[in-house]
Amino acid sequence: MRQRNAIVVGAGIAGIAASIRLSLAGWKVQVHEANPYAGGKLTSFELGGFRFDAGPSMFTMPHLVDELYELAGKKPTDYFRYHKLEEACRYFYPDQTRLTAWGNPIRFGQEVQEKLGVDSAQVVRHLGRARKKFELTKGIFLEKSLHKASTYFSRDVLRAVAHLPSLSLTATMDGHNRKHLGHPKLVQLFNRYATYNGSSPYKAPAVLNLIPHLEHGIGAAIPEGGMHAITRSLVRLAEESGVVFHLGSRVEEISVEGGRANGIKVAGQLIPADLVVCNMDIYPAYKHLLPRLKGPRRILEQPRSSSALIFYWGIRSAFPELGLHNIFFSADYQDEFNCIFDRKEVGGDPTVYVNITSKACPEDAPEGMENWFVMINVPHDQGQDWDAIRLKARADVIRKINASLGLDVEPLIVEEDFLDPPRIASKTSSHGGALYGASSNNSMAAFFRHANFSSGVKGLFFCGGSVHPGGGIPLCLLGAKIVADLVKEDYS
Amino acid sequence: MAEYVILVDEQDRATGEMEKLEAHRLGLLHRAFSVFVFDSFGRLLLQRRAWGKYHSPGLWTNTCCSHPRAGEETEAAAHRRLQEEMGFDCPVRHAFGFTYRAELGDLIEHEYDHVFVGTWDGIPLPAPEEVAGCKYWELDEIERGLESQHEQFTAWFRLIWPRIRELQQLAKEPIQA
Repeated sequence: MRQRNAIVVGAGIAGIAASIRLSLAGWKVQVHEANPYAGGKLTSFELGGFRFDAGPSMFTMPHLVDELYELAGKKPTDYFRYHKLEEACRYFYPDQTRLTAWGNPIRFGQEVQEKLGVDSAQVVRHLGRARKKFELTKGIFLEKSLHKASTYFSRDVLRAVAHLPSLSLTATMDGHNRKHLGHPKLVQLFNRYATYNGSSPYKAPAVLNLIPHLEHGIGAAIPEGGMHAITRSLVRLAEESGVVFHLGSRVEEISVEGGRANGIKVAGQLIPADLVVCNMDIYPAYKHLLPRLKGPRRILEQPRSSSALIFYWGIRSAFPELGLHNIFFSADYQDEFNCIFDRKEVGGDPTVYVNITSKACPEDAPEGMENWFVMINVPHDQGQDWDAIRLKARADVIRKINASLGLDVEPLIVEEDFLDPPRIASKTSSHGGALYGASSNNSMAAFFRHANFSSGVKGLFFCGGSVHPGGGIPLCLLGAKIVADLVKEDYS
Repeated sequence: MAEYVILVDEQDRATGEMEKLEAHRLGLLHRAFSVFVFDSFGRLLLQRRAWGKYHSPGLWTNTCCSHPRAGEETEAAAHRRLQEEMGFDCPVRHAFGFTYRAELGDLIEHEYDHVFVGTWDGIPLPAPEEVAGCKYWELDEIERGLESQHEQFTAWFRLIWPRIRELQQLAKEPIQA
């Protein structure tokens, strides 16, 4: 029998994972990527003597990467190693309170008791609730297609329905956190997890309070060689599994004939395929690659998730008080999210995230120096004046860090670059530069993400942060798995 | 099936045949070819060698290269390998020949290398056991890559590149087959 061939459009992390799974299932797989490199947002660059991970900096659920090696019959550690983090994050509050969120729930609880005077059991119990939410929902929301009727009759779903009250579907993350946590600083800390999928804790459903379980239950990790090692090692696994990558190959159209995807067009040439997996953001995918297809308007017009303004700074000094992940909180968290999602602007006191991979990977910066990835959450691009916003935000960010650390960091910056929503959009085709596709600022948001398959076109599948189950590395990897399962169902 | 290469002298005159791996272990001079395919914008199609290759796995190199079999015309072999490795064929012309020797781990590449150039616009359909990736490169991009990350390119590509660049500049226009 002729080996069936599949084309993957886009070499983001989901596209790479899908290519591996399809190749291992016996498909001949070609990946076409417009950029001269694979990885999408999960890429890396060098600046002077510093190396920076350009995008994602949090690595949770590392077993989802290991799983791909195991599927290929290989030993994960031959390709990819990571270390579990002892501390999830260091928090700096505007009133100079400092708090370390230890990965271990008990140690984290003790720290909270010591610094905030809150009973440590409160934290441990809250993380227990996060675990329960995670266990109940992973079967429905994460590991299956939400859009196949069979999903609704599975045992996982029935079990979850029986536990609907504990999923707190109607409450917001903030409401749920305020109900269970006795200190505003602790509420702010747990509210922050909404940003892990680009949403607002004041709008997103409380079910997302499962996210802290990823860091404090399953455990966060840092890959050896930084986040980009995930891309590098998975590309290698894909190639060894028989996947061929076409870099700098911009797909112009997904070709559809008689209700079936039959290939792609690159430089005007039709490249035939038996099935196409699209890893491009769903919005531009419909607009540019499938112009003759009527897109599901309601889904495509869901509000976008937040974007980011990132400064990459080479710092000629070392800061022992900082860890791998650091958060400098804003004074008025609610106003910060109102700014992003309602007023579509960037406020003067944003929460600042500083990620320093050289803490874990010393080779990422010259000796005695550090590579700072400094990020604030901002609205997706809706035509704002980003040059003006960036200049003002840079000054605000520096003022905030200075106030907390008690020195002036600006003269310590020896290398500098930045990424803003328009740049993110042009480099990764993410609509408006939104980091996680549609936001989850709605209790039904999970149901309004695009499915992992096309309902009108046979042989057309979707993966990546803008479709089910959502954005971020773990969800992208799970989306790729759902696609491979759907393909297996359709073609066996 | 054992593959045989054509042993040659310094003037590329055939002197015998030898099993491919044996010739590489002993480092005996043999006939080889390298194909460079450009598109009509003057970009050069490079391939990244598959991870299973017996030497230089995962490295970027010219469009395709191999050895003619005993009794096979070199240009015919170039067309054969373009199809086998890259899944396409196009007219090529002989540009120059040169001798090189490079030690690659336990193996020694010692070749009289015939360089062919061609022009083609299209998307290759490479054989996964030979090729892990492909990309049309701007020549300046190759230049920068060789400067900053030369270890990402094969030894013979690094050797041939300056002459290709020179040819390209002499031609003013992209090299035409």
